[in-house]
Amino acid sequence: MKVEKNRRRVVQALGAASAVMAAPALVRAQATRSSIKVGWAISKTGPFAPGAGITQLPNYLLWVKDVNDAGGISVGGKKLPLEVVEYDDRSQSEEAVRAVERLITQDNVDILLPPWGTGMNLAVAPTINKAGYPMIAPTFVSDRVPELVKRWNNIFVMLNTAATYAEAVVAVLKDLRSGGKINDSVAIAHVTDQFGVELAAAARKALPPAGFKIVSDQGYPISAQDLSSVITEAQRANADTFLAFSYPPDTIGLTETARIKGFNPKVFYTAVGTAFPIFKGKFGANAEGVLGIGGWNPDSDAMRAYIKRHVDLNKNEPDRWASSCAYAGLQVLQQAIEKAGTLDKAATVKTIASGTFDTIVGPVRFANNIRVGGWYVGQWQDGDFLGVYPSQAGARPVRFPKPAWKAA
Amino acid sequence: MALLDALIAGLVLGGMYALVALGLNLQYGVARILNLAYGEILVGAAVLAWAAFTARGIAPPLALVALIPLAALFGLAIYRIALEPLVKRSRTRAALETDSLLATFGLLFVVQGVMLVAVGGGYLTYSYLAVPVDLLGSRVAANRLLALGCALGLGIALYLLLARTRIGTAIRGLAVDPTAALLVGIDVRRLAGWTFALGTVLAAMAGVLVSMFLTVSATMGVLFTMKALIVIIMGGVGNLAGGVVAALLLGLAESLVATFVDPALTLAANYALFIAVLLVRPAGLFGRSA
Repeated sequence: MKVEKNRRRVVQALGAASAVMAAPALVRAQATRSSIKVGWAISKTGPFAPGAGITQLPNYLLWVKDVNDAGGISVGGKKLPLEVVEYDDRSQSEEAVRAVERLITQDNVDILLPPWGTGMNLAVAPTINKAGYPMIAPTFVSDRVPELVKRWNNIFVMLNTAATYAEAVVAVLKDLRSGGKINDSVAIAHVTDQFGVELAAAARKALPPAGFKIVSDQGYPISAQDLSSVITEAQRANADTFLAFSYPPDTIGLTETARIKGFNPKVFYTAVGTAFPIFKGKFGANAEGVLGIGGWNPDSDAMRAYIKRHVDLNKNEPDRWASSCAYAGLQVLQQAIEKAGTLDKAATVKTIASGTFDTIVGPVRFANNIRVGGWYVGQWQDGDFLGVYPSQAGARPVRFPKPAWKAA
Repeated sequence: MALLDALIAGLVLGGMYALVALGLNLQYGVARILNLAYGEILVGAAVLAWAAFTARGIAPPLALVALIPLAALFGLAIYRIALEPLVKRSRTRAALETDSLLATFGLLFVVQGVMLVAVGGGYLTYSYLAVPVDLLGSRVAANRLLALGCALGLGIALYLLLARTRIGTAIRGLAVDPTAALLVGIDVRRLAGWTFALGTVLAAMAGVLVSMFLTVSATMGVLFTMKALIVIIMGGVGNLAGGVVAALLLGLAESLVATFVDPALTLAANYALFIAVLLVRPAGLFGRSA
């Protein structure tokens, strides 16, 4: 699927200053075009590679396959198949920016897909904005998003702000408390990285007004290889609720350590990674009742078909939070292009901003460039990580309390 | 009891660091190869253990034993093919360090690339011996205790090998001065190769052991290389007992700081201790000054 250098296109590119990319794209779309060039730079090596390889890249590949199996994206009455240009950003933001610039100016891609992770998306956003490409980011969680999309109106996010996720879990706790199920003590832990810091800060702000006391509040570095002191202190604080705003390796580490130490709070919450297939793979029945960020509702034909196609192609289940959103974002992009009837970037951006799109996760629309809806809190129930908050169609009631850890 | 919990957690963590550093200490301290691909080899073994366990249900201790000859051959082959030419042409220790650094930097990407193709870049984890063990009222995972036990056992065994046996004496002679070692009839070429291979075996054993309790991914090798370097430089390059002591100190410092100050400062505490030791003893805790 790799692209061969196309002389014609190079010549065309010579004539097109990068600032007026839209015009030649339009000409090509209607005259000589026989395919659509889609490009992305993503972390295939380095510390971000596992996250990108679980949540995002498999969905890029699946979408390209699905589109091409169906003959392509239809633009102006003609179906055009996708060609792919891919770069590895090596988990370095400078490398990501360079690769994105190359995709824009040298490869002249028609569609540009974003990298994985909040920091990387922040890094490439100005470049992509300058070139005008619509950018629907599947893994971009920050409290700065509402302010940023004002400046960069071509950027859309499938997930939400950090505060939204933290406030959502506090809302779940408030419900449990008013039902007399948990006491007012909460222990917090967070990874000392942008994501963990933002969520913990939002939780610290939201907990006291909801009537909760924070009895333990600990940060730990991202590469921590032993989290027993974090769990021991939370255990000593004797809280009914444990909230960890964590990243995948420490989500696994905290859960494992809690199990070993016999730390059994009534509510056990971890963040990124809880929705990953490896979480279930590692903890099996012990995953039951664990709350986490995200969640999904797999009870639709579209979702069931998506899961099957994902497993067939990638030999791995999608994660139960951002994966299906990543795929849905690509469907939005495709439908916006088809609706606009052109690959013109500005027209596509406008269509995305105002339209409602039919995707595997249901109808998707954006308000101020942030997707409306989605799942904020999920829980492992009967071997699946199901959305429990916000209350909307498909939301499951929270199971309470989390059963005590079993021996192994 | 908070202090006891912290001490036990620190010893267990330090044991893991010691285990991770043993092999590099042999390779760098004795065979004089600063092996930047060390962490990748360790992760490679972890990936194999993961694959053996998840695909075939082979218990990690069994995989560990099976990997010993494989790792030895692999290490020996690397040394003979890629590193020996560098040893031959280098006139000084410094020149060899630079050359081996560059060569093993390349090896790093080869090993990592093979892993990425084979298993992808995702997180790999499984559960084995993940049962709590009561240690003086503090609960510790059995697999972490096993790693601590192996670190101490291997550390003592290596110490005895180096201090009490003829071949160990030859290895120490090699570490002190390869040219003089040649003069007293030590087969430097063979011995250096086998020492490097032994270092590779230790890396593989460490990889299998840590895979039981750490979530690994194909691209995380550099974490282990860094940790191992800190440990052996702090303990004194080539001094295995020093490495074990340094590792335990680092583990204890991390755990005490996490318990009584702030878990966010563990890395800072680690490096502060490292710098403090080097300020007082530039050649490491048990190192001889050059």
